Amino acid sequence: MKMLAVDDDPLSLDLLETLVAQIGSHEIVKSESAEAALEIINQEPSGAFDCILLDIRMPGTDGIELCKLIREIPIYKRTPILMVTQMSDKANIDSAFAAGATDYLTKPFEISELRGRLQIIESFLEDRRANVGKIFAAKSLQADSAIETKIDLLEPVEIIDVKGVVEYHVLENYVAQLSRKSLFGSTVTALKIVNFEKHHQKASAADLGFLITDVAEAISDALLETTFLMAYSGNGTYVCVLEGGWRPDTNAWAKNSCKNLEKMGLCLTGGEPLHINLYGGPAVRLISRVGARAVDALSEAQENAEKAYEASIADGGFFGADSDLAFWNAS
Amino acid sequence: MTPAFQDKLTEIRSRFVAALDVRGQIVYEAIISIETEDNQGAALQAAQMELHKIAGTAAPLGFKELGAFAADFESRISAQLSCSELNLIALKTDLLELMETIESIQLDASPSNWMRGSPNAFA
Repeated sequence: MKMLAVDDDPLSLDLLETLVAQIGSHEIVKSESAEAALEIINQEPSGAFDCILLDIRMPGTDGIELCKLIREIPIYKRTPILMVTQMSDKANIDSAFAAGATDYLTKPFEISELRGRLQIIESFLEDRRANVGKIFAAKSLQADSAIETKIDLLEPVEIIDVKGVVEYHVLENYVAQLSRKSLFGSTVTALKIVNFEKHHQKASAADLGFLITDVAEAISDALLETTFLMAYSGNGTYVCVLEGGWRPDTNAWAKNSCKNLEKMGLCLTGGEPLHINLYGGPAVRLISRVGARAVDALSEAQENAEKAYEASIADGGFFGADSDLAFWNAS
Repeated sequence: MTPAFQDKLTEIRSRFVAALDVRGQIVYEAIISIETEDNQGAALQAAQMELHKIAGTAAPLGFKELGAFAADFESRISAQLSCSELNLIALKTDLLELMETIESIQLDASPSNWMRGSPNAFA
């Protein structure tokens, strides 16, 4: 991989370069400031870097701000960005992921940790090369609906340009980082689109892209007052890690999201209105969960949403924005 | 660990030790200036920035104690920045310990000494 490493400490950069050279045949370009890094990015051929490593605490523009600026460059919207930093507090972790970081490595680290993270990034890049075109973007989709390949029902897809929405593997990295630092104050919860299978069958590839992105926007807008990170995990399910919250009101969140969707007035390409209902299950708290168990909370939240739906069907109803809409498409 | 990797680490480690003088001095001057400077926040932030650099590279290069202390010192400055009144005695106590730690490292900095204890994390 060709990497760009940004850190205001030249010694730290040299150490990182030495370690990266020991790990594999990677090329590393070093920069001692955010401003110089942006110049390098502009001077190099478009998309020259496969991966970017950023320190956070730097004079002038810090690493989090730089991460946001890099994400504004279209060709680097999806490039893996690994924060390599000594800042281990939750506020910085949250801000980094919200700014577009892909993963987070806290200094001092073992060389095996760096090797592991870079291997994950490499395999991720390989997977991505095989899945070109399966990105749903809130902005670009409005102008260009040329999505030709329909995603699989269970396939997680990347949604870009929606606040707080990241790729599923980034959400896993985020939860893993919270767990490593024993930051357990968050809860995980999931919302699921009612009868997503039917929508999946009926909608064209482009309509499905609109649907998944619009629902993400509606859910995100309903969480504006909360610090959160969310991903689409496939099968019409959105998993969300919420800051704090003893018992988040999933019901209210689903209802507000559905109201947002009603305001959007979704419809299929032919003009047929699309009414979407959402349901969610009990939240899973991250407290005392370490390692893989913390990441498992993401699956548990999805299962909870599934079980809640099944239970509500058995009881004869589920919650959504408007009770009149319940079961409009459940039969 | 290849010889080339080991050599490179040794070279970076030597540069780190050599730079400790300047870095320690920056922290020293920032803390001492608090008594006379109006802008105490800026002085403390300058000290923090230097401690942050020390903490980031010290441990991987074999100076775990210095790295941990610099990180703690940096955190304590952050705590002081959020207080209405600075505890100068606490800051100076930390500064003194930092200076002593740096001096002891510089006395003990020859490669023959630091290789003895297999200090780095990359073996």
